[in-house]
Amino acid sequence: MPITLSHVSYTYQPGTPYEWHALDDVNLEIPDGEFWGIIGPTGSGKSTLIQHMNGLLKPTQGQVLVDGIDLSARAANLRQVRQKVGLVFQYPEYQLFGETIHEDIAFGPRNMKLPADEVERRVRRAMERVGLDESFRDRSPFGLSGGQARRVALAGVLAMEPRVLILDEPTAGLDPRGREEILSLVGAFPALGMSVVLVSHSMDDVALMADKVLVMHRGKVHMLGTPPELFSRRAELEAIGLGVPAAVQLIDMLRSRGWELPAGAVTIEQAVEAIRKSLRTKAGGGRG
Amino acid sequence: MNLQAVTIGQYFPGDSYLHRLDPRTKLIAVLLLSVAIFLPRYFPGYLLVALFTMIAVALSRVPVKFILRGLKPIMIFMAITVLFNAFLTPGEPLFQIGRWAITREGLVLSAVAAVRLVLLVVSASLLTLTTSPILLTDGLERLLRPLAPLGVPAHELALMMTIALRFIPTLVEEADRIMRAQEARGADFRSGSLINRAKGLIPVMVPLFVAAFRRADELATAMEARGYRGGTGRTKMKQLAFSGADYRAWAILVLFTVAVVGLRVTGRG
Ligand SMILES: Nc1ncnc2c1ncn2[C@@H]1O[C@H](COP(=O)(O)OP(=O)(O)O)[C@@H](O)[C@H]1O
Ligand SMILES: [Mg+2]
Repeated sequence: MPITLSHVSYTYQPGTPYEWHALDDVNLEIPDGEFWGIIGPTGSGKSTLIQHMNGLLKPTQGQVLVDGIDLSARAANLRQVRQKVGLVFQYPEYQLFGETIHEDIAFGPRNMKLPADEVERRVRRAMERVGLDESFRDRSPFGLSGGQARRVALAGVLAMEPRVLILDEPTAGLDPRGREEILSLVGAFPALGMSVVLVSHSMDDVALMADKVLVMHRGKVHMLGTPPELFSRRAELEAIGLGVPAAVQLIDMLRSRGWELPAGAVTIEQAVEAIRKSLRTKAGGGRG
Repeated sequence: MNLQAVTIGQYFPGDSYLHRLDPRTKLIAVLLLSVAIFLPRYFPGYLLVALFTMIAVALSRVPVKFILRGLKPIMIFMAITVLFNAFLTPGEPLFQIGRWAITREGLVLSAVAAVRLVLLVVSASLLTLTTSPILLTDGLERLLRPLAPLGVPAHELALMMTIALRFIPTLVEEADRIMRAQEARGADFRSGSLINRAKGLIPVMVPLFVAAFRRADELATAMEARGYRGGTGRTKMKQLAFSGADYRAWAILVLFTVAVVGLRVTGRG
């Protein structure tokens, strides 16, 4: 399910005083099976961008292709596209409506007109994946804890068994434990054969999980690269109010104090490894 | 579905003559105008009222396209009114369709009804388009204040209106987001039978109500936390004050009213 955007621009409320050019000539290609992180300041167009990837928003100009299908074409079957490209909105628990958790998670599969036993199977599997046991099945989705409600909402999208999963700031507003739970879930998706697009505010999370990082700024693709490539351009990121992962900050600081460390470590583990290596050669050099 | 097209009650920021008028002037003007719209009997009277409204539109500097968009929701209502008037008014028949006839008197009445409806909606939208919600409610509160001894809860009414105006766009946005989220799960709000479409609204209405209650709760807490105690003894940061522009507007309004009433009384318009 490669997703290609060419020359995509999007304008909110054109022709009114509230007109806003949210996307400006965006060109991208997300190949199958990759994990992409999207970062950018608030209002830079991240949420607008991802809603183009399953046809919820149609580009004012340009073209979006999902698996070769032009989403603006009249003949495009958007329902089919949306079950293959799952989108989890920001604060998805605010969209829960079912009388029971089971009912809510079954909404997507039922809209796909699947037979009842297949719906049942998918709901079970989705609940299992997000770590909700059988006892939740007949409970109301209202009155759960923040982390639990979010996992129910996530299961609602997972139950459609999409090939690409897009998540808009899935950890926003959760406590540290809830964040951990969601992140470890998201981290496991690639192994299930899904491509993942993760919109995030946390450089550390993106550094840890993404193959490619896209930086949005004022509706444009500002930077694009692997985490080591991107986070080596610290000044450019800081110029638009973004930062670098803690590991990069640490390595930079040590280097400025004269440590000899290779660039390219973006996660804590990589930083520890680099420092350990450097200590070893130092010790070795001392003896020799 | 596109909820962004909902413009009723929307404020169109600007700095035109109408924008700068005191909200009380505009409230009274709209009140007068909506009475004036129903006074004329003959063409000159309608012409005067229509001209007055058009000049007001021009003075507001709000694009005509934007104002016409506000008319969209009443189109069906207008079509029904026009049809009923055209067919059900007894008089000299012009065309015959089966056992129904469009009469000459019916056509005239339809035209009159349509013109009145359009003018009414346009003048009311001009008020909200050129007045920020805060000023609007301030103006309303001040106008209602003399009625407080009669038991009219002026402050509470104004507060309710402020909150409603403040939250309409928020709820529209919320509904829009919820609909897109459910569409992402394969919901379809565009096709199917009427019953299916109505059923399809449950996944939108439930979260929307939950959101409305949540917001109401948060707002109540925030107001209490800041020591809100109702209208008594409350002062305003910005005091409303009439300016030269308002006095000129009053003069024009008086002239206009005299002219409309004059035409009607003398049987000329
Ligand atoms: N319905 C809307 N009408 C007008 N402007 C909007 C609307 N939705 C979003 N915007 C504007 O578009 C810009 C991009 O929004 P968004 O894609 O949500 O950014 P991000 O997710 O990066 O914070 C923001 O400046 C926002 O104010
Ligand atoms: Mg966003």
